Amino acid sequence: MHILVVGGGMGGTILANNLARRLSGELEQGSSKITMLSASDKHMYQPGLLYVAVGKMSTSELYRDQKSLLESSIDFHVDPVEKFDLDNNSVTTKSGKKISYDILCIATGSRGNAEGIPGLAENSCQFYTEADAVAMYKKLSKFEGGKVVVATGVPHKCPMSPLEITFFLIDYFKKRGIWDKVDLHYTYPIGRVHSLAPVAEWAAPEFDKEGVTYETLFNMKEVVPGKVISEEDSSAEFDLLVTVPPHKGMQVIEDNELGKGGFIPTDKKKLNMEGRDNVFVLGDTTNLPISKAGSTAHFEAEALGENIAAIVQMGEPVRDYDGKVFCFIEAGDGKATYAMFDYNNPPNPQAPTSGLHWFKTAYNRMYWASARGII
Amino acid sequence: MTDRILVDAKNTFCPGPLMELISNMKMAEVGDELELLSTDEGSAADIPEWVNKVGHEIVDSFTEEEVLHIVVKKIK
Amino acid sequence: MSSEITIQQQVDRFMQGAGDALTDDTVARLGFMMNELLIIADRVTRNKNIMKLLEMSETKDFAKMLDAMSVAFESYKESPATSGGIGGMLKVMSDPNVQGSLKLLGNFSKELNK
Repeated sequence: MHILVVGGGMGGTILANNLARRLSGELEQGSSKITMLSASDKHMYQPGLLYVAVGKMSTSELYRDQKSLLESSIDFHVDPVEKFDLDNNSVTTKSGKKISYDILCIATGSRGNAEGIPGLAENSCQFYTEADAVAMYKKLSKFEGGKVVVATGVPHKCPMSPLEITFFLIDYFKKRGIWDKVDLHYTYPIGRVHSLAPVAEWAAPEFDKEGVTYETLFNMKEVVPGKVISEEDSSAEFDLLVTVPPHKGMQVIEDNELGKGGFIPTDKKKLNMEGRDNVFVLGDTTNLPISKAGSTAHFEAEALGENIAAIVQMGEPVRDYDGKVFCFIEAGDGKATYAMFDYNNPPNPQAPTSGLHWFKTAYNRMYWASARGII
Repeated sequence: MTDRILVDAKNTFCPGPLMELISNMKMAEVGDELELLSTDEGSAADIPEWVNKVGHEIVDSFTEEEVLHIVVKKIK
Repeated sequence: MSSEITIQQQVDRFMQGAGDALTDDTVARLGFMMNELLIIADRVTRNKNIMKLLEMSETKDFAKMLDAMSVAFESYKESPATSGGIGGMLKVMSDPNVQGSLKLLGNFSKELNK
């Protein structure tokens, strides 16, 4: 069986490694093969960008060689897919190679799409690429006070990031001693300050305590210099606009008409692409109504690893993905908490503690062991 | 009439039904109808509030087997 | 006031002390080290040859070899330097301890190459 993994981000990497461990015998005998196609020879720890944007992490800590994270039995190529021919079980890569597969796993991810809102890219800072995070830090370090607005687009990667960047900004301005010169205004697309009700109930009083003002049901329509206007006919003036931009799936997914907005219709339990039994989708690439976050990709990859190995060895998958998500929430002031939930159990986050902040700090460095499928 | 776009946000907590609706509304064409399924208690109030504020239209709303169905038409 | 403190209080104090002593940077470094150790441990435990080596280290032969080596080192320290040359080498090779060690090393490499 030839398993082809397209995408070398967190989901693709954990899945490929998980499969390589489970199918080590088959790979050694040559009865199975795992190939990974990625757009880059580097692997980025994406959650680190939030820290880079506020000067808490250096850019060199974000990367490792993709090859160093993969089991040696995985055939890895930097040659992104350009064409998917699902009817004939094959893909064509950028270099022109045609590769056939028995099982295809698509984990191409998502990207910030500030261009989707007129004026947003030109008038805001964001932290979803290395260049943007560094530019944001430079802008912050020159900022001497004024109106700061945090605005969030939909959908977006990591639902915790709007809150986290806000708490980090408070910390940052306090450390610089200019907090009294800053008016921080937080906006959010739905009717409370965070999508998780218990998190919103905790965060709103925290905002009140710090003097952060907020407006809910605020979806960016247009940004002009100094002002962001919402679809709900409201607006907020700013000297500095920090945005979590709306996200899109990858262009190649749209170009191949695999899913609207670059997100592929996916079965929420089996994680196969709707209508295809041998095509699986994971991470940000799915259209599932769950968090676009590393932990989602991680748990999906583990469920898929078990299932695909079972398909290879027994001809049938063995378990369902239960919708599990685990998200750390950096709460500023050296504290953090987390939210965990699945399709059946709502989250019940507890008060932030410094212990959880250290756990997250340590986890930021232990990510690589996680990508290798160890933890 | 085009088929309704089904947005199944049952038993989802984050980003939640309203965020799913907003997200799918953005991808839809003017005139499209979206049927949102939700088991979230807050949705019954949140969703109409947002739909009215932005100026879309609630076409239908009913509860079936403890699942809230809200049909929204994209107006602009 | 009693000087007795409960176990819970001791744990709390320990955690508070540990907390006050730690900085983000220290935790990050510890995390980094843990990461590397885990990756090394993973590589070692899944490398058949290294595992074989570790298994062999538990056998009696291996213990004997270590014994023999320590005896050889001791006698080397105590005895005057050999004059060298082929004669000296033959003298060393005729020592039963040295022969035993060489045989074990031979078996060792044979095992590893299996």
